[in-house]
Amino acid sequence: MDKKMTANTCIRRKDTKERNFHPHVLEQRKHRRKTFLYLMLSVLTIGSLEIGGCGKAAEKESPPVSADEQDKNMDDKNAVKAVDFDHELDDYQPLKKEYNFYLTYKVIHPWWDAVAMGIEDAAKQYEEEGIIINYEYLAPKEASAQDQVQRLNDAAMRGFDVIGVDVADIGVVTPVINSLLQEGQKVMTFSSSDAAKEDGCNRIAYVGNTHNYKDGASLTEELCEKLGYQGKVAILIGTKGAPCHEDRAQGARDVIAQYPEMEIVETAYDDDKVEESYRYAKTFLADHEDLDGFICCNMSNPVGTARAVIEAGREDEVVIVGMDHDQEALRYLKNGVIYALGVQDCYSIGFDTVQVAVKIADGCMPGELYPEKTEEMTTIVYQDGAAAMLQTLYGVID
Amino acid sequence: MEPLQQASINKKQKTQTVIYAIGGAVIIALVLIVTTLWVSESARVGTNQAVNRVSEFYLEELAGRRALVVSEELNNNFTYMKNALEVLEQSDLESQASLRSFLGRVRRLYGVDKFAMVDEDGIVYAQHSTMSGLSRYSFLEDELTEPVISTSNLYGAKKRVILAMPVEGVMFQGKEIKVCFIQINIADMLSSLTLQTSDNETYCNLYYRNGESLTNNDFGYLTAGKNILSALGDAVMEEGSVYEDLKEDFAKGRAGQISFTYQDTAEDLCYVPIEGTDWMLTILIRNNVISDQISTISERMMSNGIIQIVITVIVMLVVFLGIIGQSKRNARIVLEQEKADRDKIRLAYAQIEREQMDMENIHTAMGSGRWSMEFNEKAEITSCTWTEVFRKMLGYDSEEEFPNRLESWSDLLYPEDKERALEEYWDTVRDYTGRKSYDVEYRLYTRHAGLRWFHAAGRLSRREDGSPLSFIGLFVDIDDEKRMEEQLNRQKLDLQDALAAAQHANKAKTTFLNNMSHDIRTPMNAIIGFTSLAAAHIENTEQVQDYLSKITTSSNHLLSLINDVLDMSRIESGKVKIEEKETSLPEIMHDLKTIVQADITSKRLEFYIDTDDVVNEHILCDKLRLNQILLNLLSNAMKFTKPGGIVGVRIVQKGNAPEGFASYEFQVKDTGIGMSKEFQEHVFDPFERERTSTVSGIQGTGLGMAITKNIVDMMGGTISVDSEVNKGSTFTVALTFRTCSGPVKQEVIPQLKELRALVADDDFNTCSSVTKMLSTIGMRPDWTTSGKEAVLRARLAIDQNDEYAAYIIDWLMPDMNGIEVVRRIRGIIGDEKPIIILTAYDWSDIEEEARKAGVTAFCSKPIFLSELREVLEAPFMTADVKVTACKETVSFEGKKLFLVEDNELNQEIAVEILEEAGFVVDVADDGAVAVEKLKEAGAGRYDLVLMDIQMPIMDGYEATRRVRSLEDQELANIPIIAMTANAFEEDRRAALEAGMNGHIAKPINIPELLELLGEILK
Repeated sequence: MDKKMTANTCIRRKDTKERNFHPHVLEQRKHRRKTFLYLMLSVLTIGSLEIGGCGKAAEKESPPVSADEQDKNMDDKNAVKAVDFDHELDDYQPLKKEYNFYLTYKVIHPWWDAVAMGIEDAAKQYEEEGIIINYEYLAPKEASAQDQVQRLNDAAMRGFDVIGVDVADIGVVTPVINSLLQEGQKVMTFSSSDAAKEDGCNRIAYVGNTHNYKDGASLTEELCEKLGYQGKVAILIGTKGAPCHEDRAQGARDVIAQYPEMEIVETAYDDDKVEESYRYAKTFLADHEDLDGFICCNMSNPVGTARAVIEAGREDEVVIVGMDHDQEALRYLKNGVIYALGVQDCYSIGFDTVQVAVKIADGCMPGELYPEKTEEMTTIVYQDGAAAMLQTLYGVID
Repeated sequence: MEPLQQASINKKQKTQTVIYAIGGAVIIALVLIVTTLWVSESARVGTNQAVNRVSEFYLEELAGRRALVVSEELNNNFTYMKNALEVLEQSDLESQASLRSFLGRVRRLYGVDKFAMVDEDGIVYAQHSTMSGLSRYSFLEDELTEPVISTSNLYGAKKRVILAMPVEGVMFQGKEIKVCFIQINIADMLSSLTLQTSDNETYCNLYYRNGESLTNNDFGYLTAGKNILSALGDAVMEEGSVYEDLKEDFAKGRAGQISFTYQDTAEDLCYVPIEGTDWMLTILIRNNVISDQISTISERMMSNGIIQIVITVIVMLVVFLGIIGQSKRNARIVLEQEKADRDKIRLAYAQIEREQMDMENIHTAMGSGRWSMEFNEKAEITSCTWTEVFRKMLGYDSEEEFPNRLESWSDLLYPEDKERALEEYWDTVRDYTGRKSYDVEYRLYTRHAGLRWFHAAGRLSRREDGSPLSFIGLFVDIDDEKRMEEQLNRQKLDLQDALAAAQHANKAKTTFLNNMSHDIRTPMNAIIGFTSLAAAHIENTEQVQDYLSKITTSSNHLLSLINDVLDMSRIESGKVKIEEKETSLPEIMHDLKTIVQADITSKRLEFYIDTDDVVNEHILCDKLRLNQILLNLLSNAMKFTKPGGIVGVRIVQKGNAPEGFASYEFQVKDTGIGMSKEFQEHVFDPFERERTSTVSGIQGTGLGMAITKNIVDMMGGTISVDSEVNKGSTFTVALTFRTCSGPVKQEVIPQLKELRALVADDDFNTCSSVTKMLSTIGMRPDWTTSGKEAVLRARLAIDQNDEYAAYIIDWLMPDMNGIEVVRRIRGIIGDEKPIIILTAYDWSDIEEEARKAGVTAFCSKPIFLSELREVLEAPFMTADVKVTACKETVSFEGKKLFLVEDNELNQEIAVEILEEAGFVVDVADDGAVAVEKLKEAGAGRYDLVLMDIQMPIMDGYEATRRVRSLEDQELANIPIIAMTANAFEEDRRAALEAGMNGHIAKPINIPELLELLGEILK
């Protein structure tokens, strides 16, 4: 029954756990949802009345819709919800009129550009309320924990209200974060990689993906299911030491390990680069003519892998699962080259990072106003939801 | 015919008429319905086609305009970036804060989503953010060399256009700024282009040439993000629209239109490329928008047409029936009306006859004659009738005497009025429009009463074509009224003239009083003021002398004002007479020069005075008045010329005078302040001054020119002025005098015949004039305007062995002083030949030096032929007699003088002056007392009597006559001089006629008084 549901329902939300918001915030959201529902009901009622009264006109305006299309529309709506672009600021009233944040992340990459969109929109909404958010959002061209340490130290000298970091390497960066906290700096982590209390890090809060392991596991589960729980697979991880990539890979390994007829024949770090992943995939395909699938742990490697598979003419044989929302990858998904993509809500990561940073700057500690970890969801998207996802994220369908 | 049969026939006819009427109406109605349906259908089809054509054109126009707006929007943003970079200053690049502030200002100014700069590392600086942009902005992948428009599919719900351009020479924090860009929200950009109506049936969108949408908007049934080219591949194209053409147009960026059915809806799509981009602007309109509208209109037209026809038919029937009934009623009414009209006409004719009789009676009673004429179609008179009254008014009793034809009347017209009266008559007759009426006044010769004024008026009756039929009119004798009117007009004109003269006189009087008030008060103010100051500083001799000097100046001015006013008054009242006496022009000119010499020197003016072609030196004229003219002009010239300026007088004899007369032009020229053209028109009007004395600093009465003009007029001459502001003025007086002797002796001087003479003068006119004179006396003259050249010529003449026999050298020449020239020439030629210095100045100061230098004689400018002849002949005269007039100085010491003066102040002044001069003075305050005192004193007691004229008991004339009639002849012949404020020439003559020996005018001019006393007591 579950499998059937999975096949019919092209998109399933993989909220691995409820967001860890404070009850007050949850109550507010609940109330907002209720209001929205009432509003929608009212609109529908009025709409139906309108249709009844002016049937002819209504018929003109709406094209005929088949039952299949209605199903598809429902899937599209789910796909649209994978990324929440309708963010609004919460009710918190900032204490200051201007804030300065320094945010640094692992490497210059389109994934963080998506996060940047959320940051930008949050800053704009604050600006509309008369509060200025100045921020620096910078990263090296090549991922480097040492570079990140240097950036954090430099930022500490420049008197920002809050420093945010997407941890490149927990071992290297954690001591620096703790040292800055001791100096009185306010440091938080965000986006994809946290350095948590259990890692010995005292950062104030984290906003982002907290379920990388489960994302990797879930995608691998989908792959295994697709392959009938037997076959040879390769794992392309991404950046060595990057917690998110490593966690996903580990999740994949653990799932594969559950199925005796499944085998990991190759594992490689492609540095989150399309070219590298293409090269590795091409090599693996050549080396393993019976290779059945790829598990891709970052945004670049589904693209590189798909290119290699198409080039090898094995798109009907090889199943690819991967992460994120690269436009090319979504097109491969739409064309059936990629089987499933785990799309993270980068926009919300950026948006919520700014909201949390404002509260941290005002001296609020995690608790009533915001959680220590603000989790953002990942949605697994399949072929039927690809068009809607492309439209939502990039405004294109075909 | 039987009545019953007749009724049957009538009924049958009526039935037939009704059937015809109804049948006709039905046929007309059917025809109308059919034609209306046909017209409506044709109109619907035609309208459809026209609307389709118009909508195609409209869509194309609409799309084109919107594409232009988008293109302009993009271009504007590039301009904004350029402008922003131009105003970017170093201070904006000092820190991140200053750069952010600058970026914020630009963003706000141009209202863009984002304005940012990118450094060489791909770091993007915006108003509130600094971020890595290499992965986000595709145009940063390679170095940007030219502006780009990017719409790279940025992640997010809102699509944005990015316009980027390269930047050079801007450094920020050690990094070079390579790019700046503007980010625009496409939705905002398109908001101004929105076309969607409330019915959601018209859409506008932007697409790439590959068909991808640039926006997140739905486009008709194409959901947001749908590729238009892919989607329309499923559409059913209308006839004439080809899908492949659409794809090709998109690929090649060409505009076009297609019609298709998509999802069961007929639509028109218009697409236009946007310049500078690979975008296509598309406009979609659903056909039902137009077709529904047209169908509705057509249906409405048809139903309206049918209703209209039904109504028309009903109305027509009602109208037909109404017309028939009305026609019957009208026929009855017309018959009754005709009968009534006939009765009325009869009554009217009777009334007209009575009125005609009455009118004739009235005309007879009022003396207005009626006349009438008849015309044929060619406007020729066929009959003419003059009534009896008419004839009698002209003095004729019968038709034999005054026949009934037009000429009977026209022949009597006064010649001056004839053409006008006949023209008026025929114009009226021939005016076929009938607008003109005949109304004319003229004079006629009557049989008994001579020429009399008549007034005629008439009206024409005309045929339909406008040709005259009859002309009837009246004729009234208005001679008495006319003569009365003429008399009134004359009286009116006389009264107007009198009024104008009175007003003018009144105005002149007011002007005169105003001017006089000002002009008298001005010097009087100085006199009174300085007198008070002198009294206050009586101890300070030097200061008092200064005050007295100023008082004297003001007094003299006041006196000249009074003299001018009185002179003007006398001229205007005709008391001044021109007295012609034999006069020598050279004398007048030399006197003139002598008089102005002092002022010329004191004002440091350059002065020339010369003659041209003057052959008649002796004339009959009023010397005093001629002098006055020239002095007035010259005084003005000096007055209005600044130091260093030039003032000159020239006499030119014109050759156009009749026998026994000589015509002269006296030109007085200056290089002074000149006059405006406007003022030149009034310069000879009394009291006219271009600037007030307070403004110009130059005082004057404003009467000098008016007096001059009057005198010139009295002398029968003309005066004109040519002047330019700040350049100077030239007054030219043209006068013609009778000559009192023949021309100046023009014979050749034998001793000088064919001898050479050299004239050196910097003034060409003088050279020319003197050269002519020298030629006249037989010499061979040369001339030069340079002193140096004169010296050279003298040397050359000796070298050529053709030496100059005489030299005439100007004293003041710009390149070499005349004395120096003489000295040098003497050094060349020795002492033998005469060298004459010619000058307009007083040479007494340099005479000694000049003589030493070798000057033989001096000649005063202007030099006349007689004078030149005299000077040149002098060396050849046997006895060179040089007459030098020595003035005898008379001593008044101890001389006894009897002053008769009634005014105590005048007595005091006179006594002071006379005693100062050495006289012993006795005083009498009346003529009677004076006569008695003289009698008592007897002969020898007094040497002279100064006699006032106006005295209370006995005036000076009477007293003089009494003295002259005394028996003691020695006493009776005692010199008596009138000393009076009666200063006119006639007063002078009256004094002489009363027996006085001289006349001195008050206020007393001391030198003149003493000179006169000296002459008489000599």
